[in-house]
Amino acid sequence: LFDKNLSFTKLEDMDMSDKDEFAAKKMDLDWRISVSNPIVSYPPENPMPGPSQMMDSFRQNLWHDGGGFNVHTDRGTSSRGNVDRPVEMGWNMAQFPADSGFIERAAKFSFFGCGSFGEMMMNQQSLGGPQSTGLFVQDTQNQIGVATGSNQVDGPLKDATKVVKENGSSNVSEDSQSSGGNGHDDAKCMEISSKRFNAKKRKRTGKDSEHRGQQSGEEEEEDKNEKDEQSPNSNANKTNSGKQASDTLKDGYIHMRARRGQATNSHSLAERVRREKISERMKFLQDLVPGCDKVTGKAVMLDEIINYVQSLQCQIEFLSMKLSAVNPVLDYNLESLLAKDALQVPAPILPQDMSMLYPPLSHHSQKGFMQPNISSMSILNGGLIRQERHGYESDQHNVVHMNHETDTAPNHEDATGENKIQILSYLC
Amino acid sequence: MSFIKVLILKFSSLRTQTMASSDKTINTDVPEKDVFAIHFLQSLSNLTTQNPFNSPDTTNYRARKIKKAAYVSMAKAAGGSSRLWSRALLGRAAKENNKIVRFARRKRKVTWKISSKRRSDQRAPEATDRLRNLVPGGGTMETSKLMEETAHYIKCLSMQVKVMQCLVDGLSPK
Repeated sequence: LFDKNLSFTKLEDMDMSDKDEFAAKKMDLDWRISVSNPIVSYPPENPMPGPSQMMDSFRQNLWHDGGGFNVHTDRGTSSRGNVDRPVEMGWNMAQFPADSGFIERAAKFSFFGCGSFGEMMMNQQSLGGPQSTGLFVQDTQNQIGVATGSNQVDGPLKDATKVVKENGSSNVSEDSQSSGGNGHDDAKCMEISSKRFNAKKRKRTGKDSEHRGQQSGEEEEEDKNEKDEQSPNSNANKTNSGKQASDTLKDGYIHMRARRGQATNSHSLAERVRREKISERMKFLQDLVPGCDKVTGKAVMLDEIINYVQSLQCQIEFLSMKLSAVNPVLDYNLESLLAKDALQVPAPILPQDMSMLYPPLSHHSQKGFMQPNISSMSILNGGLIRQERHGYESDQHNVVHMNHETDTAPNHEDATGENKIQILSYLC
Repeated sequence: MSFIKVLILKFSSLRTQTMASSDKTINTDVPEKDVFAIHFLQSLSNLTTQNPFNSPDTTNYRARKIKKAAYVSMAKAAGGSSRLWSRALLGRAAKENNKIVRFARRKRKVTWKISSKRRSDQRAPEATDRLRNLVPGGGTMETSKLMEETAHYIKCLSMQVKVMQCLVDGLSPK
């Protein structure tokens, strides 16, 4: 802000004609000052079909009469007073209050496009009279009725801040278009404002942000580089390094800088943050899901993920069915099992359960570590059989035989947990 | 239960490579396989003690019970109430058993999902909606959060599948 002030003071040192040039250019390009009483019918009333054409004609006229501004030295108090009034949308009511002080301020504003316009206005206010700061600006392109009918000085001031803030990008665009043959100052202005536009705006007061929030939706599609207000919820702002005031965004929100050439609308910024988060997580999921490195795109990836999750769930279901068939009950109450029903011979349903005892026995008999496992296994299966009464084996005596034979399970009282773990260690 | 600790040590030597999350920003660590295994076996034993001597009628019934036990044990093993999907799963299971289990509600940031749910009818069924149906508790999550939960859920599911596969392989006839 302060360096901009310096540049503005430099502008003041400039020639009056230069200032007029700038003022004229900026004013005709960007600002629309409508007053009810035409004090200065300048330029002559031409039939204006469209705003841009009117502005062009304005510009031509102003270029013609470069020093014309100096002629109208009437303080234009009435015009000021009218300026304070709410803006009207009439295009052919465009007037330029002819005041040198006004031209100064206009020149200053022209560099300003956005950002600390309010402070600029404050400065202007201190310089000139309060009336003169009642610049009521309206965006040429957007034609949004900023006026809220406030007659006070700060009303138009705030409105002006609002509109000029929104106009920032349009300023830039038009500046870039029109600054072809202009002096370096224009280029500087463009640089500055373009730098501004690539950064998110500052946080404003709540009242302003409300207004801006409403307008932001309208302007969103207008200009790509258009700066926009914060939305009340997503305060993802980061000020430009040049600005000093209101860097008070350390409120726990994510600070996000808009990239160059991208929309700086707060809504779209938050959207972009959200999209990036989602895409980052999608990449992470891509690593998880096997065979998805060639897949690109969110939709296909999502389908793959859904298929994978469904397949995993189906696998669990299938395995649980298999488990219920193979090993329906994992009961570890060995004493009770051993005590009762030792000779019960339930009807065989799954005869292979018994057969499985033999391969483990033969396979792992050499490992001492496995012995208790096998015993527990057999006991387990015995318990299973007894418990379920589904009759896995007809030759129950085999079980009993094995139980007695491999009755070397170390800890019977702790057999339950131990068996579980042992089984698992044996299995996997 | 010191013997369990001893056996866990033995188990650790036998366990296979576990999935470790290497992501810095998103934390999707899952516990080791033995945690899943222990939980699952415990739940299975609980299942059997619940039906001590009355045999379930069909294999289907038993299979469903085992499946439920598998999910619950997976949710418990994966970190109880520290994950949204596990909380939803456990809450669902508790509701089925007519037991109310309420976890301490974590502080939730105000999300826009809540407002967008109202106009959810207008949106076309997206793939994310299908994902929400699949992942437990995914109905009211933000999409980015949904992705995180899906990743963790996938990891836990695959771990559980491995455990169950081991069990079935070990107990099935060779």
